[in-house]
Amino acid sequence: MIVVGGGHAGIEAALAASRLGCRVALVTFERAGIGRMSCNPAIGGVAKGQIVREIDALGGAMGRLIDATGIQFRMLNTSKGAAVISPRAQADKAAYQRAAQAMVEDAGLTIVEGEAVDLLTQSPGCRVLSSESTDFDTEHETPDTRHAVAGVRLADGREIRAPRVVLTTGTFLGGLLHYGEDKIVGGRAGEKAAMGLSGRLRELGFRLGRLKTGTPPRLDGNTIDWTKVEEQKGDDPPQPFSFLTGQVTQPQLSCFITRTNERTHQVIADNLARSPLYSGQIVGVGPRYCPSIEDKIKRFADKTSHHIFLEPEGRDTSEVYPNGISTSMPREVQDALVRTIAGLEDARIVRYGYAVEYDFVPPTQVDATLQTKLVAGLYLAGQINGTTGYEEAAAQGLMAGLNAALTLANKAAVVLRRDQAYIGVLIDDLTTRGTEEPYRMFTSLAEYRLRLRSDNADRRLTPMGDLLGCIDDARRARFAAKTADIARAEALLRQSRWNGKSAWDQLRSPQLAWDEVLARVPDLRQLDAEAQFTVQHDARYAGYMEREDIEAARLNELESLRLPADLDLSEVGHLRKEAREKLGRVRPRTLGQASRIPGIGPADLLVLRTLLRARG
Amino acid sequence: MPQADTIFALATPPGASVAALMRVSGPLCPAIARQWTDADWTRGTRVTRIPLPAGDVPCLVLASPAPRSFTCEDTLELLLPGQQALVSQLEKQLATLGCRRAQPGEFTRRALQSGRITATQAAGMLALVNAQTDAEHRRAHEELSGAAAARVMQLARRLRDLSARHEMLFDFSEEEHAPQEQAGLTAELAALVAELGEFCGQPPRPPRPEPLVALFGPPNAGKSTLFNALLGVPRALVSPLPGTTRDPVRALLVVEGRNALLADLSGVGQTDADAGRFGKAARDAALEADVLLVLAAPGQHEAALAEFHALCLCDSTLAGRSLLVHTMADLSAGPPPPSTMPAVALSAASGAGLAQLRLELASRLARASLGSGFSLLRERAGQAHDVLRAALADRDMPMEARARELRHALVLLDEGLLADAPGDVLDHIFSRFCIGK
Repeated sequence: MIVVGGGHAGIEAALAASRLGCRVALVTFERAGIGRMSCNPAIGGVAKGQIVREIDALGGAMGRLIDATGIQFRMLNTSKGAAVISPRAQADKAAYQRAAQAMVEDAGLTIVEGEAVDLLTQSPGCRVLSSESTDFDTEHETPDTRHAVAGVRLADGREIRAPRVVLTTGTFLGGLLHYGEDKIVGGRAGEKAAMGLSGRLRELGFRLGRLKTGTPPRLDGNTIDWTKVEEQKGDDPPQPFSFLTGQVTQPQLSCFITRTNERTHQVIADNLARSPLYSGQIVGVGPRYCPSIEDKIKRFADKTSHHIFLEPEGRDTSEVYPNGISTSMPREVQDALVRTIAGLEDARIVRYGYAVEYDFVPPTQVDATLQTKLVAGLYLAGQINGTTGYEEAAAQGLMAGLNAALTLANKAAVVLRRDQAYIGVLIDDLTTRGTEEPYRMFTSLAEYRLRLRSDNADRRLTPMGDLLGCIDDARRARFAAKTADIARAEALLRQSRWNGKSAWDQLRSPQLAWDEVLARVPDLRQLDAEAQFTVQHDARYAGYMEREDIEAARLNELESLRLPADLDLSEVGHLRKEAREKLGRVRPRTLGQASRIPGIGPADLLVLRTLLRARG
Repeated sequence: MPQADTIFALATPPGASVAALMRVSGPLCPAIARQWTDADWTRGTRVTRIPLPAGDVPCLVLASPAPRSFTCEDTLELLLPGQQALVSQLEKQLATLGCRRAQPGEFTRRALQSGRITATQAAGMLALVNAQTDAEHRRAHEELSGAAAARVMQLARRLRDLSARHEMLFDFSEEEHAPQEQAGLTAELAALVAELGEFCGQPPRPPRPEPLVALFGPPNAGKSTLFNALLGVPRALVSPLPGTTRDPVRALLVVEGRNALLADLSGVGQTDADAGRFGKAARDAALEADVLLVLAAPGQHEAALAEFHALCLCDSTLAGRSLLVHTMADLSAGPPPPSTMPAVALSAASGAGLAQLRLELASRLARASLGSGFSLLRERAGQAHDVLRAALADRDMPMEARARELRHALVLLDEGLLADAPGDVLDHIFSRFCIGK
């Protein structure tokens, strides 16, 4: 198997496939670029933190990497319920990269430095195992009429042959950097772009789109006046991401907060015409939740100030990431605007901010296993599918790597459902609804938010991971111990009664503090702290799961109704023309997926359901 | 739709009338029109004679080629003399030509599927057809004209804003410009619940799988006799003694291919000791009926109507679904007294009038099967109201659970409006609030 790209998606894809016994070649521009954090030096955040926990529960790398290299951990939303509590951590960027590279090397992957410029394919006719299955106990083979991938060709002419290729091209595919009026071909500051692959994808019949993202200038911390900014400390003790990490031991650092002011806004307003965002120079669509500072000032003119978080990029570097002033203004404007800000009056910019435009493959062109519909054996993961964020990329890399390896071993692929994991929500949204802007995860995108908690990701996914073969002994043992403690704790809560009610029932009321429960049921203290947390919140939510249970049952019923792969929609009478087009484009696997395609209504579902019944 | 069957349905009520209107929709229409009018298939009207077993019947044919018709299919409308026998012959003829009888609401469904009308309009159309009271008429008109939809849309907009502000508590808790209110949200939710409740008002009666036909009237009006006559078998005890039927007797009745539950109620207005109790049960059952047959033997007319009008005070829609039946017409000296209610005279002994009663029943059952005043918009608005009210009432409910109840209510409203909802809450947040570091 070949993985093209050594970013967060590529690492997870390569490691997952290797864990399942595949021989993996990781193709990347340069070995030193593996695991690089292109933008902010942080992992996790609301909803994203849940994704990292899920990746970890399936044996992935991201949680362990950040635990080993994080320099500030903060649990977000702790004043709210367990469903929305999310871990976030600042990474020591250089340490994170070193740890990622060490992990890749330990796994025995072959690292190939070079640029993949071409995909080798076989013409249709050869039999390829279909990956279209949601259940992993069923397996079926269908003769495939698609092209099949056969390997990649590098810029220097070398060819690597493999029956599975995972593309994780990030911002490198047709990458174009913008600094004001200047345009530079590249995937990241000072790095090359992948210019060959886009043409080949188009030639194979893929539609390509263009997205944009941006990054702020990096500052030299030695030139910042730290007395003028506000300190923000991390949690003490830091809480790790991985279910395997006992505790975080490395020393922790603080972040700092400063603000833009009216002078900053004036500098930007005076130079707005020079921003490639407003001059018409950028055609790609950017993320609304991660706007550039010029966007914020233009769209929300009533706000006279915006926060800037000064985040250290590591212990051994003075580089600071000013979170909140992503910009693609000309370099001299960046200098001017930074110097209007309190604490940054004399700050020196180490690297300028920029916007980057890149090609993506609108993701309704991949199926729920992340295999492309056009070319068998070719998988796409990460920003090439229109997402943004390290966590979203890593999640897709993991699933693409697992599925490529599973199908290679003649096993059925795995698709996570929306009620099982944020990863399921992510991939279903991408492959069913597509995306027109860089897609980022939010808890509000998950219908089953109350059950998709960060603390129970292992309970949701580790048993499945074990069946798939990607769980090692240490994790299996840790999970078994925690599961036993959870069962013990629940039994204790159900047995202990006061006020005429069990502790379990009384926990529904937010007034009952956990400390009081511990005081009354001291045996609970013997149990694992994570198990205690999970049980406490199981009890707190117990009364509110009913709607989710009903809807999950309805979802699963619709998901169990599979639409035949050979379904010819032109033969289906009574279907509206619009519905026919939309179904034809997405080609949903199940009635459930069809129901989530925008513009498909209850009447269309009724027609499909009738058709399924008629077919038996 | 190229593969659709060709369907037909009588658009006028069954029974004798000046004219009957038969609607035909589907791909066979051009061929039928050519056969009967000797004309090319074009839009317009033709007067012609249709060959039926009874002879050549004069008929006005209105042709509407696809897509410029109600269903967006080729459509014919045939206007012929309103005699049941001719209508039956025409239906047989159409069936011979390969058409089939339409299911209830099938024309409207085809219009909906072809995108000709929206689902809210379709529901409004059904409601208008079935409206039995002024209030229901007004509601149906609101639905058709979009006034109700506009009101729900406005409430949905407010709910979306409220939902977005709940979501911001979690997804954007780190944002400096995101409002971190909680108390205000509860007050606004309470106001919204009140307004939604006001909009929903009295819930409409949902359709039943088998509509209830109840026989109501004074003792010895002949209810059990009619019960047996309609069923064709003696199921109920019949005697000249008043008060023979005490517990209501129910049986499955089939009229013109439609199923209904027929209930023989005990007589009302009796004077013996148990009468009060049995009378109350009979009145309750009568109020539940989808079709109420008010029976009066000669001389009982005033007593029967007095009881009936008392019932109407409990449910103003009852009159619209009731039919007065003058029983024992063979014993009557003269014509039945005049009444503002639709009425049928019959004699169970001779069988006279039974056929007409069956036809009247059939048309009323057709209406009942569609439900009265039923509308998707109102049903969903009612469900959304219930969800929100319950969420508001539970003071222990965590905000993230409440947020999901709000989203569920929003989905219900959007379903009622047939809007394409998901993602909207985030769109709303991004358009209103300055988000993003």
